[in-house]
Amino acid sequence: MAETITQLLTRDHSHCDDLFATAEALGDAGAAPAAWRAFSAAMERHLGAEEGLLFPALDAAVGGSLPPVQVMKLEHAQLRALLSDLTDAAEGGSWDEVSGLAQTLLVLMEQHNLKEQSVLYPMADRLLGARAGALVAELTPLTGTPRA
Amino acid sequence: MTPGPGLSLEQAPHLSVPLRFYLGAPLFAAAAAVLVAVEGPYALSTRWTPATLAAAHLFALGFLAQVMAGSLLQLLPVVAGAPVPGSRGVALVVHAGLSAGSVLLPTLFLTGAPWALQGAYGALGVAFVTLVGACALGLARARAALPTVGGIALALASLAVAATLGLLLAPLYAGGSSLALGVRHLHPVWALAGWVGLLVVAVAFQVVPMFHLTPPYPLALQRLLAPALFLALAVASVAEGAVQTAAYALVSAGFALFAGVTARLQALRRRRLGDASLGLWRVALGALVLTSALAALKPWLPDAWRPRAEVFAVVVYLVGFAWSVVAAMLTKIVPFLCWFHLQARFLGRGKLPHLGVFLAERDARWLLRAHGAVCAALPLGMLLPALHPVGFGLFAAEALYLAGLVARAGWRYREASRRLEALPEPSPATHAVQ
Repeated sequence: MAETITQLLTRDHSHCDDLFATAEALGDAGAAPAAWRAFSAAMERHLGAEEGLLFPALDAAVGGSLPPVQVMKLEHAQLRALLSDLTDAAEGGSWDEVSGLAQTLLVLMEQHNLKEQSVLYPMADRLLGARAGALVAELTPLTGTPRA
Repeated sequence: MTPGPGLSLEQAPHLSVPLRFYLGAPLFAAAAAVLVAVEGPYALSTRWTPATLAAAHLFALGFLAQVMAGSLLQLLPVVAGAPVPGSRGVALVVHAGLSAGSVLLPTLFLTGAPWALQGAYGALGVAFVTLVGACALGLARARAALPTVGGIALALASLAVAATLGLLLAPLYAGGSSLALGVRHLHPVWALAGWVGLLVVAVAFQVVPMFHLTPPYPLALQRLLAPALFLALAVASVAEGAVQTAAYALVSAGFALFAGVTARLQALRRRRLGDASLGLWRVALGALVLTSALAALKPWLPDAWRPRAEVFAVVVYLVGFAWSVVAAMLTKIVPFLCWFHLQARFLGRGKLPHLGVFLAERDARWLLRAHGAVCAALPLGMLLPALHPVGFGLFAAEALYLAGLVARAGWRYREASRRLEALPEPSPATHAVQ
């Protein structure tokens, strides 16, 4: 059976979580800044794919600006601000700073993901109906997770 | 600010709403601990002593119900996707009612004064009706079909059963009679296993995977555990004999299963770094298994042991399980809420402090160490009466330390707000959100 939007993007959340856990576990080791950059790049791909394809498709489906989409966009801006602070801190900041920012980002990211996975993605699968399959095909190359 | 991006902020109530509850709650826990310490080992000989009843209600209403109310009023508007009407007013009423009731009901147990009974009725009645009404409204409109939402509803239904039984039983302590005398054993069952237990189970389904990146709970467990526990409690409440014993055994087994699955998921977590909140969860799960085992063994205990075993099980459940879960959550949620409100007001205006600035992990670790000491000292105090005040005194100190951590987080929020307010407004270009 073809993958749904919910399944694809939930899997991509999980991929980003893995990269986060890998980077955080490195602590202040020399490889940490590169691991945080890899995490940040995966996040940017995910956020960009949603903003470039999913959100416009949802807005088009309802013929206006969907409130949950507006909230998700705001949270994307918050996530980006933290990602930028975090990758900067990883380059030269203290471990306290990196770990504090990582915790902040984690909590924000997880509650954001929860809202998307339990409200927005199922709404997208429902609203887009037959068009969802085509959108999944467009989204797939933009996510970091080839289907298992 | 345009209406769209403002939505998320409007959905979350003002920071003072949850913080007011989180700050006051540990003070009631400290008061409960001091009361038991001062009363001496007699307070733990049976659950019917006035000081035991007073301390249990100081803890259950003053600490647990306050934290729950603060969290639900914070969570529901966000989960429901629409603000609870007048959430600030609702919070004020619930907070005032619960605080007054948490003083008046213990006063009733200690003094038997009829005015304390009437006062507790009024205060707790207003608080619970307002809270359950506001939550029912929020839950009914909840957009997310999460098992957590159903579990919270069952926990609130259990609270309603416990509160109704409590309402019927309370006149006994002011020299009156009660229609519910024959079922008075059900009040703590519905309060502890129903309300507190189901609430923790329902909330854990969301927060355990979230904070430590564990795999999700099995979907069947998420869907079935809370309804199954609720049903088993209902059967145990009305059945007799072997059916009742079996139903209670199912409740014990259900909670032990929950503890086992949670520990397993935490062992499989992707986030390798441990933290104080993970340690507190582990203490909680150990205490839950111990309580479940004690409850399951109860029918086989010699009659002479039962009163002490009951009180011991309740102490393990409240201090070992419920307190640990609440502390684990507060060390995560309080700094996050401070940060969340700060960034909602000042995103793009200057460098925002991170979570560790509001509540440092090393301070949370001190809380965990203190709690480990308390959990070792309390059972020792039941064996060696000389140690009794040490354990409960230590617990009171731990509770005050938690209140101090919450107060300091709030203080640092104010400091950061002042610093950021002094900075120039960002230009619209940097603040705009698509």
